Amino acid sequence: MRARNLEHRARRLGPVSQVTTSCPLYGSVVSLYAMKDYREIVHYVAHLARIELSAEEEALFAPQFQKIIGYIDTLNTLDTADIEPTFNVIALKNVLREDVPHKNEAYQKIISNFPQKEGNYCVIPKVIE
Amino acid sequence: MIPDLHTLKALDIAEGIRGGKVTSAEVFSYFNRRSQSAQSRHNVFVALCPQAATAQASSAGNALTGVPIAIKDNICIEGQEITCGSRILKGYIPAYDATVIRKLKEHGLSFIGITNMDEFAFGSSTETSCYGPTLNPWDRSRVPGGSSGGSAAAVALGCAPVALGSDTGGSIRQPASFCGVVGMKPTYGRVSRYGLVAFGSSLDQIGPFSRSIEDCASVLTVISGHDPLDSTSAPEPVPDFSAFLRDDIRGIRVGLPKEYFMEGLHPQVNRRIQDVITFLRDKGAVVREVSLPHTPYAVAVYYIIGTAEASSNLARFEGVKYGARVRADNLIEQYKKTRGAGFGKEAKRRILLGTYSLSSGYYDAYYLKGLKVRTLIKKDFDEVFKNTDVILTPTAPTPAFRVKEKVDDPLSMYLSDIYTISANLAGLPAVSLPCGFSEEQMPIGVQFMGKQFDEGTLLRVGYAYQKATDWHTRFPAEIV
Repeated sequence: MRARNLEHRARRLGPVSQVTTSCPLYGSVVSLYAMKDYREIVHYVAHLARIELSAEEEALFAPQFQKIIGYIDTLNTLDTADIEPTFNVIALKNVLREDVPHKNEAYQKIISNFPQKEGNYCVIPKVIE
Repeated sequence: MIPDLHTLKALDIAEGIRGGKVTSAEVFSYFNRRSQSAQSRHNVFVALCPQAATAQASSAGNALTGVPIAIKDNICIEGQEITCGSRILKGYIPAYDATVIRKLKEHGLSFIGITNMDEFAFGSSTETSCYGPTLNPWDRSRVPGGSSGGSAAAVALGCAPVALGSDTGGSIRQPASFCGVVGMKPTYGRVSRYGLVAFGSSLDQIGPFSRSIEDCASVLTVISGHDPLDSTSAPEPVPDFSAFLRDDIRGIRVGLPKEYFMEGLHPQVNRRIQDVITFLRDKGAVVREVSLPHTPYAVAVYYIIGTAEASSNLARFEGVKYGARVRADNLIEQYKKTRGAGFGKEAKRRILLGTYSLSSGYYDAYYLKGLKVRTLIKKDFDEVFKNTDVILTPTAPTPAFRVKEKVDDPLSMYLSDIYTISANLAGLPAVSLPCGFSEEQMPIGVQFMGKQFDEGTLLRVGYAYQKATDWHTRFPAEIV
């Protein structure tokens, strides 16, 4: 929600900076947000993605996000209102199979990959207080 | 013992083994020695394999039995550590073989080594690997391309006659072009992805590297086919792709998409591509200009769909069931610390971009929008292929760029895939073939794209081209 509010605020403010990228097939692109907004966006999505970022990484990613998202926003010049999305490029639909149980002979090898274990159990920090 | 085994086709090496001129053990140790030597100068591999994995007794009669193959570090071999070039997977030992690995074993190929790659295949230069960059076989100050840069370099340096890579937006074809070898991305669904560590599940495809198009066809025949373990693999019959290798391309309709020959294309690359066009015309192909009008949007679409799928696929790397774990008092903190320490910068950048485009309030504006423009890109190809057999383009806009030249400018790095991404978005087969050198003696590649499941025509055109040229037989001067 926080990022969404950010977006609304940024749109009210209007375009605040412009980034020109050298694309062989595409001209200049206009960026929508101020840099401090990108810093907040990076911080917020890092939380969603469960990745701890250092302050240096946030500072590095913010201007890169501005440039990349600005470039991606060039898609908005296309009207796609009546276009169906393509989820899968080959004509496969509802791939089903018989539900036949089989014994997995490899389970000990899977267990041996656990970073922390007790017997055949994978140990994680306590989840329920 | 046959001298200079590395100059032979994989098919000829296997024939030599069958005819008793050389043993598979001699072949393995020959390529192992070359690999060790190349490793010290070019950092091609993350691990070299012991000879134990070599030819199974049951496979004595196959066309590739005894041939060593290099495998990208994102394809599972049972018992062999796999990391995808990432710290977060260090120590992970797969409990099973990828389907392509099972098939290679059944055909008696042996694994020479595990090749370096951009972390989780995120990159176009093999510089984002936690093992450090692979250096271009032709010039160590340049990148080999990526993300399958190790596999391309392994074949270019004669460490193995063939290799496997994976291609999500050009990760086989662009390094093939930069290293001067053949690299093919088959049709989406042609080759099982079971056991390939997923990046963009609607885009990923495993494919071969080789020097000759004959070897490419042979490996493709081995690895292709429907697999019940991969529900996105296609229930299409698999031909013997070698049967398409005829030195006759009269009447083949070749399309030149004008959007691929505009500003940004290096003049020396363009010159070599024009030579290929002249060759095809002389051989009786019908060459004409075509248009793929939504080409300018392909990179933007790719970096929505590819990162969105990656952010979802890479959610599994959280230090619970495998890989490296950074311990913390509660689970969420443990996820954050493990992923913060385990992923490199480019992996983080892509996961964050993908998370952004999938997050609440942005899904329609980015992910759905990207899928809709993907439809437009695919329709462009459908239209052109109504009266075209193959599309010819450069593989990359430039020859190999310098190490560190683009690593701090992600968008500029992303744009180096501008000619290869569309084939992934449309699910088409595409191959890059060496077609000459720049003035600085760096290899240049030509790309052919075909209709879905029509790899055969690409191989046929490639075969006719290689019959008349020797670019694919060249080795770098500093070869060991």
